[in-house]
Amino acid sequence: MPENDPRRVPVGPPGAWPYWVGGVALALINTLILLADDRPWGITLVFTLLGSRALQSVGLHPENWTYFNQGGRDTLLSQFGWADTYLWLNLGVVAGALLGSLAVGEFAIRPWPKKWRKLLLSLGGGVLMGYGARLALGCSVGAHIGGISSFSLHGWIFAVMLLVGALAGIRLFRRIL
Amino acid sequence: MPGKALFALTAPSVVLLVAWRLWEQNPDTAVMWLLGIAMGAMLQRSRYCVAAAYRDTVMFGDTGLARSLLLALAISSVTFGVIQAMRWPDGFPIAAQRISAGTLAGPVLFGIGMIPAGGCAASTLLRLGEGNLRFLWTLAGLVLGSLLGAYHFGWWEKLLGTAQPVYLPAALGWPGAILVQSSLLLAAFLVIKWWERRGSVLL
Repeated sequence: MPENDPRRVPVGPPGAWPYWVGGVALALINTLILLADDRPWGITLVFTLLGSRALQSVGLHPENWTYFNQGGRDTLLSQFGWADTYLWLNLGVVAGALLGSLAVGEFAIRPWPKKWRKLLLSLGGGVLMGYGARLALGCSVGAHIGGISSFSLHGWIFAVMLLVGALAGIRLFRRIL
Repeated sequence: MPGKALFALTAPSVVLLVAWRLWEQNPDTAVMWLLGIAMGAMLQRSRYCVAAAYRDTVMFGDTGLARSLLLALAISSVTFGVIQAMRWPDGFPIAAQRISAGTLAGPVLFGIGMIPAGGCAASTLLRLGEGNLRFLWTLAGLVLGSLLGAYHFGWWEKLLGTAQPVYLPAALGWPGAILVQSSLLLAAFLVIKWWERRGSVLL
């Protein structure tokens, strides 16, 4: 694999910790999250709840959607607020990455690219990921890692279908990335 | 270096000040804030990204992240398994996910999206913390997309109907579940190893 392939994501300066450290830390901290909150790490649910609150504030009624009225999700939206544990967990992740990068002098404000094409790729990629995560009841963290770790079949389905999606995505976008 | 010293003094104070305020409001949020900081810092330092685990394996035959993802899954299968067997013998809340057309299509769409976005939902949070503002657009997309997904959720469930959640220990008993789980993890590891040794690079 060519080290200087332009499509290759920069893995950062040589000071980065080996990947296995991240894997062990992810598993152990996720276990602590499960013990503290009775559910493993999840990210995108907070995005849905924040967005739904925004819709409610302009007079729409996401609380009537099927999603919020079955599967034990009927109290999610009404109970969501500043005391939400997932909200603070994910704010903590951003703060942790900020501290981690500041500590080694890696932090730098990088403005978003000027080209519309690049911004649309970021926005569109986010839309597809958000949409997919909602359908699958979790993202690559909540459904994939949380699902497999908790011996649920949907986690393994997520892993296989994610590979299918990644292959399709690479085929679709390899020329313009 | 005065910058380092200033950081060493202020960063922990700010973290603990926020934790203290959260503790007064709701101790659970303070605990999650601290766990999130630990998670964010560890994953930032080790360049962790689930999207890259898949992409780099497929595109470059670079399997470091994929192996580390498998390691994480193997460890948390043990810890989650013990916790679940003790606390929730009938199954764990997350296992109660019904299987529908969305369970199949969702990860495919997620996998397509993570390629142009250049990261998954977790790395979006990490890159934002590092100061990369491009990921504000990905974040906006994630909020929009997850709203659309919630809006369409009922349609996807009706498309093929829904199947009951499958919690492996309930379906197979613990010995069977452990056997299936370890076989799948081992199979994934062997496939990744074979792929790397073959020097396979797709596309």
